Amino acid sequence: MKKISVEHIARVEGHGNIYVEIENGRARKVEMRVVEGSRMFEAFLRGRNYVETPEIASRVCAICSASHLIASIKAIEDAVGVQPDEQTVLLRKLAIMGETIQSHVLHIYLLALPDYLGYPSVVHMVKEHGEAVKKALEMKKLGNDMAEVVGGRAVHLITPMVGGLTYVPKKSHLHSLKKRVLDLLPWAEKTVEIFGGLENPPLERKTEYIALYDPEEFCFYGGEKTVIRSSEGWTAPINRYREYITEAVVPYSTAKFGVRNGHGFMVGALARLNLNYDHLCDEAKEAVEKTPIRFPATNPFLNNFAQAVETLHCFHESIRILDDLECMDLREKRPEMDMKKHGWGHSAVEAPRGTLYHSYLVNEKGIVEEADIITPTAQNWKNLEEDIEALVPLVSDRGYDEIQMAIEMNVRAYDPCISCSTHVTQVKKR
Amino acid sequence: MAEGGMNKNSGPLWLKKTWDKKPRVGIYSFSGCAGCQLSILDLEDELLDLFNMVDVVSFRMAIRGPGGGEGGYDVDIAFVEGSITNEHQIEELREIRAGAGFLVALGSCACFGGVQASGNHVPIDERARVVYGDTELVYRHLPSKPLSEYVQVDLEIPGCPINKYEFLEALKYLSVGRTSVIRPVPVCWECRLRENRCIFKETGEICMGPVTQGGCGALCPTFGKPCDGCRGPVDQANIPSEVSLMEEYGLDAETIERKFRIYATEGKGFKLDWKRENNSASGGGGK
Repeated sequence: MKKISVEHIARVEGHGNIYVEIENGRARKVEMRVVEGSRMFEAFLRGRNYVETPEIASRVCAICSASHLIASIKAIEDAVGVQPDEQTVLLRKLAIMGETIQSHVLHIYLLALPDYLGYPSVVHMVKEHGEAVKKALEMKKLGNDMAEVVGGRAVHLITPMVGGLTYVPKKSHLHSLKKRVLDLLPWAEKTVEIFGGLENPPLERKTEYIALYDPEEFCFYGGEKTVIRSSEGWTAPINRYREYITEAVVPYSTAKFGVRNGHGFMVGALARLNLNYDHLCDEAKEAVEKTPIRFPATNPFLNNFAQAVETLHCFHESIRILDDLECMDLREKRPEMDMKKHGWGHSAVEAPRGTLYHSYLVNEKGIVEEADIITPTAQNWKNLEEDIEALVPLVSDRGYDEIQMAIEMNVRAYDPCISCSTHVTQVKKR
Repeated sequence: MAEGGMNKNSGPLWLKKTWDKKPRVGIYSFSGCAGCQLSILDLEDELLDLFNMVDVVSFRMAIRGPGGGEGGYDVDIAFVEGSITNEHQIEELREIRAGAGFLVALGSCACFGGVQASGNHVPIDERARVVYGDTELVYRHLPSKPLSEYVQVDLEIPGCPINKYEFLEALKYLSVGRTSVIRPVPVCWECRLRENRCIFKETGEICMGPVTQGGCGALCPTFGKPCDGCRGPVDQANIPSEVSLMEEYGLDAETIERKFRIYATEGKGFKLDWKRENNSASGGGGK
């Protein structure tokens, strides 16, 4: 029996551990252990006023805080009967484009790419890949600045509120943003080429893919016609998500696990491209066609490539949004947040890592009585365990380091956002 | 152990430098959203210089390796984000404290318990039942507490998230062997410097600016939103006066209590025992 122990999963957001037992070349047990640091948002959001709820709820996660904030706002608006105006919706969409660019670029270049090129971190890559690192940081900064122009700050946006924004960006800021998007556009194209050329472990495993679908656009923010769509052929309205996306509590983890009929499913960039490729902008489709990769794709490592493709899509989409805003007379006005009704409100947005659901029960006094948040990473855990089970036989004849690396790369491909604390990862090889 | 540490009244202090050329720096994380670490990674223009100025030996979010880099807990300066919510974290925090020359609490979770402490008035088992149902869990949860509940903290950089330039400033000071100072002025003071219109006075929306530690540059009021007190209480905050202002604007006791219970529930002064001690909102002050 050979015992191997591996330290922490590095280069992911937050901390978690994987426990894998290997026997006769097969995975005997795979457990994604998120054992620490429960913060219990659903509990402490009870008793909050509906106006203050979104900014607190957005503290679930920093990297996708804009998505959390906006999902929370949309759910509250649904509950209290408030409708945002057109400029608000466009600015929210712009913030989500910025967040998606920053989150994807951070993940694919700073967190995932060092594995493929054999470096311990992005800092170690500077000497030989200085230009790429520099441009990656520029694109990441652009994404942050895009969110900041709307939100006043990139991490935990300030201005989005129930019913509107507390501030409207100046046209000059939108102009300079657009110029920078155009300047960096060639590098967004190059990004698709770079990640389309990487060699991935040959893990082909078809699973159920789930993402929001909108008949009019490649869906992130969503609209009135947005539904939940699965690769198994079903669709469901957002306000019934709890019937379709079920969460299981497992004893070894403080994160709940998304399960459908006992099996895992995948959300995120790869799921979106597998389901909504038709709605991708033409420029991004052309870039994909220059690579050997085609969607739908079943190798989970291609989530990295899918994020690269979405980065390019978001560049083009943000240009379109900025052009629309250009034609509008942007007015500063206090958000209209007066309650028109009360009860349950539901929402979903496509956060960088996948579909994010928020729902709240608001009473007649405007106090939140119940809250429910399902994060993309929680939905992916079970599927990731199933991936690792399938991955182990492909690598079990290799040395300890290589097995560990392959498993960690598989985890990192999901871009998990654990927001929990650290433990020790152990791989036991028998 | 560094000498002195943060002292709001006496200015920067010299530390006992435990390094020759570059300090070894570790960045660690407990319960939170990782937004403070992310804010460090968001120093895009300064990031590579920063990694040259000091030896970042532990940073799990960015570096692969045991303990998040070869450093483990043996560092000159430890930056720690997140609050403490279980016993494993207490153990690890103590290891960090034992290994680090100087320990900086990064962000409002590390300084005051963060938003997850806003539910501390409800018993932890009751909260766990809301989230997990009746499933037997392997790990026992503790109410969210700041680092200083368990170890000595040498410097606190508050904020949700931190102002990344305050972090950079602290790192620069510390790397030459001095402590940085967060000026004990309220957000209100910075807001006036920016010549913002006063949201509190003009709209009646409740603003925590008068009692909240500045350093953010009054960011929220500048973008039209009242301060929510994310940086915790400023030194000598006049809490009773803030409370009576809130009462003037017609807030009931429950709503007032909630305003002090968002990001800095466990911050001294925001811990609202004034309700019992100080019903008339005069004299006394926070605990």
